[in-house]
Amino acid sequence: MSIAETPMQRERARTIFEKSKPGRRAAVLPAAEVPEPPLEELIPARLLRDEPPRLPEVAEPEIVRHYNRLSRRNFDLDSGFYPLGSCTMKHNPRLNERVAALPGHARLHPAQEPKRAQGALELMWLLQESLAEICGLPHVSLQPSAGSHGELAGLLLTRAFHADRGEARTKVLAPDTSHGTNPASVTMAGYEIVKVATDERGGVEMDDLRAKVDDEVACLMLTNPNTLGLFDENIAEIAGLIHAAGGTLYYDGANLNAVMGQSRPGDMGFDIVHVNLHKSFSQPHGGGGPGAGPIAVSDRIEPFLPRPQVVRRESGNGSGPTYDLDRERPKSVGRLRGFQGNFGVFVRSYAYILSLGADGLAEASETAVLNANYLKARLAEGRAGKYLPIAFDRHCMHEFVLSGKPMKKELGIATLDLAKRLLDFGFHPPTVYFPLLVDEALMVEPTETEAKESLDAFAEAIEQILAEAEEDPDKARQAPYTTPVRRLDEVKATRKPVVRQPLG
Amino acid sequence: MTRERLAAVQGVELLHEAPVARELALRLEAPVDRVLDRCAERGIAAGYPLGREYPEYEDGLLVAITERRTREQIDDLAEALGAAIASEPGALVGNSATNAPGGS
Repeated sequence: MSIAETPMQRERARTIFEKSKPGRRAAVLPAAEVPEPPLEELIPARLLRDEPPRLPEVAEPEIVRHYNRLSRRNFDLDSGFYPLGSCTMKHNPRLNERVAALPGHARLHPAQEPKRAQGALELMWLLQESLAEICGLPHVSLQPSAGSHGELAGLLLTRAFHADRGEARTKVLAPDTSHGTNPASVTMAGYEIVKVATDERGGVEMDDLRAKVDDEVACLMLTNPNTLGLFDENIAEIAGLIHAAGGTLYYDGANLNAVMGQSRPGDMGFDIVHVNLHKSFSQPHGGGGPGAGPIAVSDRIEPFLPRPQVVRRESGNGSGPTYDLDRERPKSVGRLRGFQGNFGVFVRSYAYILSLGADGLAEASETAVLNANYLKARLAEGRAGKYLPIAFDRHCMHEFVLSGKPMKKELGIATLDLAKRLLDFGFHPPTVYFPLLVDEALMVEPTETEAKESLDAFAEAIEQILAEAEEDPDKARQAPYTTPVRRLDEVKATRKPVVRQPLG
Repeated sequence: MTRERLAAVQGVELLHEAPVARELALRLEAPVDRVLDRCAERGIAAGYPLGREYPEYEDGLLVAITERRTREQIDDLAEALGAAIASEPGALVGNSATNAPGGS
């Protein structure tokens, strides 16, 4: 098939170093107001480099165009529908950006004394209180900076909890549908992962769980709804089993967007929850951060929380409360990162929580679940229903998983081909090949911020791709056609990434 | 230049003589936290108290000066530091290089 190149494909992306011309400048500093002695008088010659660093020399208009052009080579949420399962790519309200950019928020030094950062500490404390209420657990640490960081924190808390009771347990249970970070965090924390099977309804296989629970089990990690988008109906019994065996129950909050204001992990019996602020609480994300993965914990876990902890102190003299960093926590697992976390993320999420309120958060989750069920129903019709059946056919929560197995068998196109072809229709593909127990999986999470028209257009695009595949499967196999670069060697990109700019 | 300007302030001396690039450590002849409070009242975040990380430098202040600071602002900082130190009762300004205990 001959394919015409698009202008963007023809244009080879050049790095900022390749655009450098000697002598070009983006800014000229004013002349020094003091005499400038030779550098050697200030710093001994032996400490000075022989040649100046080879930094790119580019004028400001070219810098602006360079990065603007790079941004247009990316697919992003502001460009189109982004139903990436388990990632909650919801719209980021612009109000939150304005609030986060206020100078008092954006320009506060992270090492500032608590007494001169009262506003920031108050915001963090109020965010802690809000998350505690949403999770149904009384104590929150904002320190972990990603979901996986929260998982590691939770496992360190679990270890400290058991050690405090004189126990050294070795195993952590997680369902075979769990996010890949769960077993990775378990291994990183020095525990042994034990996988629990999934039953025919998509929940935890209770007999398998009963067989694996013993006094070596430190913790069960669970997300509810799970990665199939299904709420585990046996959660109360699961919690009872783990607690009776002396273990802790960890809630992976990646899927919290389905249950805000509806059900609370603390009420289900969980001891430790991480919350992905960058997912449920609206934050530009993707590309590795910055994010935040605060943890909420029960009373019995609280003594071990990371330090310092943001605390409120009542003055007692009528002058109102003050806020401080409590560093005196003798049983604490210690510090998990420098400073207090990604503060701008806290500001955006707190602004989001305030602007929606309790009712608004509950409605957001209801709409997320409604949108997912609507799209699931749309995709049960026509060719999608035939070639892309739902993996576990029951009402879903905020996301659902389809299987491309019949599509691959009957049309000869894989889930990857469908995903690549979707890019030509202006949609980011769903999460593919996850969870692992579903063949040729496609995991779709539309979120509450998509209009019905977007959902319909996505369903129609899938119908069209499947229709064209019946006639010419090669069309999908060679897709995408319209993206800045076409199909990449993903294995080579992972194994032999080129991250160095050779300088001539 | 900032280094010379600040080292000339009564009650301030350099913590060490090694070359510096973008920040410098000072020793103050008055309690660092109180000096920082007084500077803050004038809208100046004067520096980082080294005692928070290094107990042996309880009287140490780390000052960073970037290209965004003007000569006038640096002069203001020097003046504010001098005034703050002079107003502390325990400060032995211009008397000795050693740091006498406050209030003695």
